[in-house]
Amino acid sequence: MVKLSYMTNDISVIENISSYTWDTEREDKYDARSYKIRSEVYKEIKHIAVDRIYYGAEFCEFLIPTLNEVKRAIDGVKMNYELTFLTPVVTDYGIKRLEEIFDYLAQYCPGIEIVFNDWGVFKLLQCNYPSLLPVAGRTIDKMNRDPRFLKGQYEEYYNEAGLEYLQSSSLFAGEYRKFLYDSGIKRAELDFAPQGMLAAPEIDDTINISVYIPYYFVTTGRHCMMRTLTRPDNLKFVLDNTCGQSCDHYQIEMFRKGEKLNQTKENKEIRVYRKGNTIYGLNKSIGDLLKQNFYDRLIFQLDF
Amino acid sequence: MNILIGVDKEGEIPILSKYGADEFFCGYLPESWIAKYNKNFTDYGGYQEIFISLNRREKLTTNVKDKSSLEKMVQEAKERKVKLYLAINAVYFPGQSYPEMFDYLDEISQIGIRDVIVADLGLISLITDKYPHLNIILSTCQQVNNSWTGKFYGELNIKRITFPRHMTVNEITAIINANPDMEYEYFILEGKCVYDDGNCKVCHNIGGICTEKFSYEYYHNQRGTELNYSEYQELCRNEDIFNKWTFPSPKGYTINGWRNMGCAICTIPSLKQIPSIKALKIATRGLSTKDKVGMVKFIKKAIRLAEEGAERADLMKFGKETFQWPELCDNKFRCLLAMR
Repeated sequence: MVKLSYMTNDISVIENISSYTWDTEREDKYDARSYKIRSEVYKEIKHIAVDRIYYGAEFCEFLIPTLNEVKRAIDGVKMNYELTFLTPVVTDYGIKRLEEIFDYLAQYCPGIEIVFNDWGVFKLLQCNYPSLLPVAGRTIDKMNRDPRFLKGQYEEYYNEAGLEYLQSSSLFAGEYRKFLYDSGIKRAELDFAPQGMLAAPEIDDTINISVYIPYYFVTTGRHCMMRTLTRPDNLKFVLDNTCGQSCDHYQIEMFRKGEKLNQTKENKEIRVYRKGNTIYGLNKSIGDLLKQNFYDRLIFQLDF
Repeated sequence: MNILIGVDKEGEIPILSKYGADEFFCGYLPESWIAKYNKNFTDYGGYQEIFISLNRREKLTTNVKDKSSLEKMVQEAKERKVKLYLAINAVYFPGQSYPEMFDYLDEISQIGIRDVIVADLGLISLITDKYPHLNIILSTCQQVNNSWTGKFYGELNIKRITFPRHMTVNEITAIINANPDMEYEYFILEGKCVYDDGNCKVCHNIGGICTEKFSYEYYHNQRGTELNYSEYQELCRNEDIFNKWTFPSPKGYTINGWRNMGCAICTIPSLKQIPSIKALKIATRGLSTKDKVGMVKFIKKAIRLAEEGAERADLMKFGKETFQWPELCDNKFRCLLAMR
């Protein structure tokens, strides 16, 4: 049976989660297109019971919450929801920040799910925090997810076997599933890929699968325009442990008409969304996903 | 420190070896794979491309396409007692591709390949179980940014790790110190992208998203707050700087026979002290043999200078003289492994 989780970076949403509702009728002046699409998707899944809240950071070690914020999130969900803590791709700097949080979670919240997006974080959990439950996050899955293909172009550029390849995750390969299972990983998470998703017919139930909706992440990296927005030019590409956190102030919508692949009447523009160091696409084909049964959890992103 | 360089065809190993390259890597795409997973060859930019590759290069000219050529290249490497690594570093292999992967691994084993560059964990697991004679080099398509990730891969029968492009010398040193029994390599001349190979999900055969020209709409996260003029100007200027970092010179512009690219030669004096860093990697698949020779000569000289006692500032001077446009060195727009 499929369950629904909410994902948010907004601690005030978690603290009022019992009375929270997504307003599908709201018109957002600043984020109109994205909000409308998310509302359309939400209408399709709102009948599913919410039992879990995702909180943390997936792509940036400078956005790892403070221990105090984590405590507030734990208090916010109280007894009504389960909490899943998201962790990002990290350097040794980020590992140190996570250790402080894991120390607390291991003591006060044993059994809590920790989504890892870096195999180093998994190894840290496996060696030092066996009471915390590792979940393979969506960066761990390497399936392509490219927003630049327009409607109908997959069939134009891929043959049948090629498209099936593109629609399949390595998570559906026996060798990989065995590797995850033998490593003690019982849940893995996928993005809602724009080309569609095809589960292998013989897929076993050793690994539970979650799917993030409606945003899928496209690319991410350590160099970040928002991190260094206020730096002098000759320091913008120097990697260190400082961050201006300008992503807290600005969100960016990127758009262009099809260049390398011809545009069609149905798709005049390609739009993606950038927050900090990460680009996201939006997939509204929720109807297709709801017909499939390879997952048991949907994660609806209230924000990013 | 060895120089590791990409080759595309027979005859390149003897030439590049003569100029000082010590290790080589290539890709091999059998006709059967191309035909099964690809609709047609698409003419694009003067090269033929495919959409499902076995490695991170989709242009057919950057891959060896017939078995006899690969056999000859293996022989060329054997005669010179140098390593030839085979890149099988497609970022993932779904279950339905495994029958072809068994055939492929059988074939390359029979040809004499003994070292493979891999990213997919399922494939790493398969090779470890069924093809233990193959040594695994971890591709940069798996991201090793911290000491614990080094430990994770060290326990997976990985012989060598390729570091991501966006690291610092201190970070690399810390990872190696925590995992001293492995071998390592890092990129020394390479095209630049602000994103990380290991966490980029676009289909590269239609071009990197980092090089696409987008228009932008900016807005405050705080609803109801409008951007002011100076904020907007600063945001636009910042975007422009990132675009110029990726492409610091006009398209097609070359210096000393090769395009303007990322450089990390000033890191050699520091990192050559670490014996487990075995190679400096030049990802040159698809370039002309002449360009590759120029790059090998450049890096060979940089290593020699470092061995003779040259320090970081000396290597920077050498780089500026070779690449020209010294401003790109000063403002760190040419840097891989950028340091203050």
